[in-house]
Amino acid sequence: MVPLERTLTASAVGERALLMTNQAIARAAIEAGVKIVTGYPGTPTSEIIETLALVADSLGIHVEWAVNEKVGLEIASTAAIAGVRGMTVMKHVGLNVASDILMVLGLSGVNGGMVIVVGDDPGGWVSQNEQDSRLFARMADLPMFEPSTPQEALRMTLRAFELSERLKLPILVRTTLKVSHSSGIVTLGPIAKSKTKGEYVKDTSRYYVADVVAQARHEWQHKQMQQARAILKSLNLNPLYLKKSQKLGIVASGAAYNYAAEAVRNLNLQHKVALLKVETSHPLPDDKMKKLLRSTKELLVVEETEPLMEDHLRMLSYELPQGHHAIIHGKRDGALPETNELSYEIVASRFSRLTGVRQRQNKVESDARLAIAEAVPPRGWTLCAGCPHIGTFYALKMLARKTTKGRIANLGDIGCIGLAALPPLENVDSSFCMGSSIAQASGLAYAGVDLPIVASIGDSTFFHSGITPLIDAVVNNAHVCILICDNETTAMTGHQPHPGIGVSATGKSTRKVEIEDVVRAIGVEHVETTNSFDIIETYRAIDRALKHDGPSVVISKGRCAEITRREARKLGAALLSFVVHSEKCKGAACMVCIREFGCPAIIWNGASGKAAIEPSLCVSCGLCADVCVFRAIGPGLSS
Amino acid sequence: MVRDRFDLVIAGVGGQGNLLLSRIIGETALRSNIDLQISETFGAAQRGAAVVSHVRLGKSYSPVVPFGMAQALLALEPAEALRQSRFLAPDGLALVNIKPIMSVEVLSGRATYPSLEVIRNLLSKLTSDLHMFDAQGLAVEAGDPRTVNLVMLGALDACSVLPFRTENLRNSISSLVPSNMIEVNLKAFDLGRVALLRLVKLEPSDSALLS
Repeated sequence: MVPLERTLTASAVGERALLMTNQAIARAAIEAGVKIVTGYPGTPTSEIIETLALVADSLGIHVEWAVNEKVGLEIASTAAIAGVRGMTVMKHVGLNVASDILMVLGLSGVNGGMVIVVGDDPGGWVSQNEQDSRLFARMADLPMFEPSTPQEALRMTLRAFELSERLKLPILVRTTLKVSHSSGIVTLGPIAKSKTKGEYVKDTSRYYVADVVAQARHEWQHKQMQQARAILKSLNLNPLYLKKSQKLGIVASGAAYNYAAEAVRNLNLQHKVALLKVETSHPLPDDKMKKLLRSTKELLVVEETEPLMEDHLRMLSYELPQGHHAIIHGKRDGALPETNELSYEIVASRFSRLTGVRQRQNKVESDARLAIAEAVPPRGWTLCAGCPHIGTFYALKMLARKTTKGRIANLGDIGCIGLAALPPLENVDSSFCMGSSIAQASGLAYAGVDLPIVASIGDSTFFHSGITPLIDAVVNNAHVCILICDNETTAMTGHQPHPGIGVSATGKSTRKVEIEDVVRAIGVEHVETTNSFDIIETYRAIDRALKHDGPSVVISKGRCAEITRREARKLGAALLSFVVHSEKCKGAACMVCIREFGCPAIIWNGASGKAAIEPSLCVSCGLCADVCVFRAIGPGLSS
Repeated sequence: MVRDRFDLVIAGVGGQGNLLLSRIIGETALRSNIDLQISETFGAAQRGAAVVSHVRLGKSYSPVVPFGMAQALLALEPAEALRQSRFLAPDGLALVNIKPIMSVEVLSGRATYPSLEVIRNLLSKLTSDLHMFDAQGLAVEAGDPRTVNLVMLGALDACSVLPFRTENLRNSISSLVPSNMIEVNLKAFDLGRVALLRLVKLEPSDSALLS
């Protein structure tokens, strides 16, 4: 077996490897001779930085987890302005954060190749929304590639670097969750030598972007995009498969193309449909789209998530003589759902309807499948066994019950914290976007809401975008308690380091930024640090903070249970388990540990009618011992 | 041994080692010059959520297996067999570990976990090629309860549906698991093979199996 590090650095051209799309993009950056790579963790693209971090030192690449996506794009694109190749990686909503600089980069342009990889999440499975980054490419008027497979991801990312350098424009590469996390066989190419030392040339006619410079550069950008259209046309991307007698034309991109191609094969439509695979989501291939519009009677546009290509095709059809172009089906006419992720099943059933080719169906079997769907127990996300957040939010939940109105407004934030909204804790009220909780809490306070107000935010999220709203809260004296849950990692996305850890993306020791120092420097007068695994201490700390007239901060510190588990495994040490002394457990009459607290290690023993602790899950955090008022839970003697 | 394509769905719970299985099969396919695509659901580091891997051997256009097309379903957990059963082809092969992992919803009384008999009845309506066995027990016997994934892979291999030789899978296992874990993982794999062959009453001699 070839280790990943060797595959990434292999110079053996033509060698084949099994790579995930994210790993293939990392390999493409290496083949392109990238010098600077930045990113902020976010599903589905986190593995790109993690993969590059493995070989960053040996290849001399600066790889970093930037404090947020805007900082990441600013660093990498300015390195590209200095002439070296740069790449930045984020998830779709990260591009919102980075969009401020994105909108200017098309005007200034870059010199070294600059690639922005953005991972979308149709369906919003692991995000706050399912926004479509292709609209950003159009808004910023920058070229965007959209691969469907790991091999295409490698090829297109590499091409994006070359094109970027030729056009002096940053290029976007868009993936989606299903594409990012699919793996396949990839053929490796040669590793290019590129510029390793940046040069800074002062040029206010490009880089002082305002007023007349912005106007002149906007004109320049339009010329570059004209050139982009010509170059992309000459590269013969966006394959169009026309047939002699097609019933239906199909336009598809990304994961949707995969479903479409699979459906064409499974329904034996190879000789009945024409297919346009769109690889450049911006600018779209107008000539091929028009050709397809002219040569079919009906056209189905299969895309995630907004009807971007569909609307573009409608616009193009106005340029064709009436009655000489296809009727366009897609999201606008309800042929395909307007929201949520597409699937093979949705796409195949629409193909079947539009072509009259029937799919196999089995009635008896579908009855059985219905019975199964009813019987499957739900298995949603939960906070892990031994999670420090369980302690923090149990303390807050108990405190809320003691307040005058019996409740606390607890505005949540992105990350594992949001999972405290789920039963049985049901404590966090909301989740919007990175860092929003703090300013949202201020908003409630200024609105005169007569409730104790808490903003709950994780450590990495605080660094990402919690500092500026905290300054705002201090300056305006918002009566809110900011509860920073510091589990010493970016847990939700896979335990990446952040500025408060003292470890770089490549695992090197670095300067650690203490949250408490930051908070005090901002001018918060009431600051307390508490132990998440001590419910009483945390309860009292939040209680005191809420009584402070003005903004207060409680830093609830407790290490992520997954890290504890990993470290124990590495050391080969067994974690002792807590145990339930069943003679003291009140059983069904109580169940507080299960119905209110909800550590996944606490299970219900139906036979004995008592709670029990699953030793393989317990990390001995001890929280449950404090939760049980009957003292039925205590440390066990062996695992 | 197989037709030109083989679609496999691996169902499990986060932390059970789905990803390692798809990687072992994938690397074996790569070295056997068989085309493949893998699609995985993962997105958060948390344990305990439903996880599914799709492994498609041979030429396919989408990494996601269409409903009702998987020739085999490998379930590391019984309720997960139900959850992912929509991918299984009629009368496809279903291998199911019988050790349940209760979800928090079940533990806190908001949902009920079906009995193994109910699970067996429901699955048997989809396929007659259903084998439910205690893979967890075999993993413990192998020396590490976390090797339940390898027990299941061994069972799948014993069904002779994968287009590679046992030896090639064993080589992939040896090169993908940490060196101090090779022995226990291979033992789990072998126990899974033997268990399945006994289930289908082939009863060959153990020495031949373990060679």
